[in-house]
Amino acid sequence: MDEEQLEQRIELINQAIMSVSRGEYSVQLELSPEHNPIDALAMGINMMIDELRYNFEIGQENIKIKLLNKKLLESQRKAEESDRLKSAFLANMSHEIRTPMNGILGFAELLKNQELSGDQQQKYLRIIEKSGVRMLNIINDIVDISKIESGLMTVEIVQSNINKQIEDLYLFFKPECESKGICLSMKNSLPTIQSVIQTDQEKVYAILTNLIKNAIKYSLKGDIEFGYINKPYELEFFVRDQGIGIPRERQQAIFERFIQADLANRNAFQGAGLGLAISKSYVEMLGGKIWVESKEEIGSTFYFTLPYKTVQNKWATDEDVTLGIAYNDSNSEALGLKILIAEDDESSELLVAIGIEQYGKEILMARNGLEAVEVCRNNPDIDLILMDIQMPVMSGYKATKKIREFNSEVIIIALTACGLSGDREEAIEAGCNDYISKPIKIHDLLVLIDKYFRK
Amino acid sequence: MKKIDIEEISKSEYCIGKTRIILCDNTIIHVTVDGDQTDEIAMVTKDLCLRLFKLVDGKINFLIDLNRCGKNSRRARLAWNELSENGKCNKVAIFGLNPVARLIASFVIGFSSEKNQRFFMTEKEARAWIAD
Repeated sequence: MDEEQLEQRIELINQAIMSVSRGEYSVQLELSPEHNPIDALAMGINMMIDELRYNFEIGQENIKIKLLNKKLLESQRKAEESDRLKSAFLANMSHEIRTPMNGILGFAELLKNQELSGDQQQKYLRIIEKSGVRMLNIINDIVDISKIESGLMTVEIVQSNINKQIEDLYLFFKPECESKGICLSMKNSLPTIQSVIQTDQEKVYAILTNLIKNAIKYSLKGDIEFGYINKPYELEFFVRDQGIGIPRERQQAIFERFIQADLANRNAFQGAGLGLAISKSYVEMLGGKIWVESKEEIGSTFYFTLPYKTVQNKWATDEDVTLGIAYNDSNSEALGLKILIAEDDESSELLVAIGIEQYGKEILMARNGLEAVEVCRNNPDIDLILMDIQMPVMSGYKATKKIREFNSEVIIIALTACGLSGDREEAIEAGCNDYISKPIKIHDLLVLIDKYFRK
Repeated sequence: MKKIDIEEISKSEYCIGKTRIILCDNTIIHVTVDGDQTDEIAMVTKDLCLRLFKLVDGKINFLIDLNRCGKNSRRARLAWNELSENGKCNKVAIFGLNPVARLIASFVIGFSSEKNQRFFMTEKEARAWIAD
């Protein structure tokens, strides 16, 4: 090798080293067949470059492993937090169900005392009723969150008059606010003619109800304002209170399930801690988002948005979007119906029987599905069957199918206790004309009966 | 991964690419390395040597000629390291006259924690150390 060739090879080695200094680990030097000292130098550099590349790749892997470890630790922390919250939720739920149950059973026991005055009896009955409503709310929340989690919750888009909903809610909550010394006000920013939107009316009602209830629950004084403002392509709803506020670090967490159960001062406030989680799910199902702005001891404002597209051309009057038949006392005149109540639970049967007494000329009873079929077969002139679904011996659906084999005229209304979506479809498929969920409100039942017999 | 075939010359002589492996006197595996020792070649070579270990009752020595050896990959060095640490292996004598051979031997020996490997300039010196 002459001097010039030697210089060239050393230059190549220099260039390779400079490439490596820039992080280029793919560079390799060529060797001559001579295997001379320069080749040995080049080979050594080649193998050291391989080592550097290997160490660099190991370093990169280590960085990835560290990141993964960090994520794993975070996941573990979240799992432990979730576990803790679920335990807190169960403990709270147990308390929330036992407390009203205690009121119901306790005061029912007291009512057995025949020496009670009329006023005392009424007072105890009011407590039982209030406890029942409280427990029903909790059960509804649990059913709703279960439906959401299992994907059974559906969205039913209808034309909905937002202004009317706001006004209804205002009228509904005003007395409760006044009794607490709180001033309630509302704000609608669209004229009525433009306030009809396509949305799930029931869910919007549920979201607003939950937020206003929370505002009342967590306010000891001050004002509560709710309503909406019109923004491009969406309505921004708000519920503003001057209550106890929410610490900044908890403002995201309150939309997660079970969170209220974790509040240190939870004993001061009843509730399962599911309301905001349900509201968040509803808002997201309707294509909006929900958030909160809050300062401790100053108050909170909950916001949520809904897509806004006016349907004013189709809009005429409130009555056009009101479904069902309004019931009033003037309707309560006797219809002279022959009614069969198929119900295995004695208290439920009694409640229905007393409620519809004014509509019946004759009320028959059956304690299971088989009995109901027999009674119906022996009384072909029955006008109406109120059919409980969960009964021993034969279920209400099966009994309905049997009855339909020989009587297609009788009106059958299913009484269900599940409160799940799909109840109505299942009842209709079995041959029922309609259905009503337990607990039954007599007013609603009478409205339903009117629908079929007062034409 | 590129498939590497073993060419069986006889029951005691094999070729892997240009590298020749001979089992001599049931005591020495003589490896004449030719060309780069890639991961694939190293794995096949290691497997063959382990097979040869089973043919021999006692301990075995390696006599490795690096005169025409090319670059050794990290995994190749690891494979040689595993062979030298095998309980059947007694001594590993590496030899080569040229600077490249010396350098590669340095990398291979430096990679091992065992002290049973040595480098020599000539085959004669290497055989003498094994026989010692």
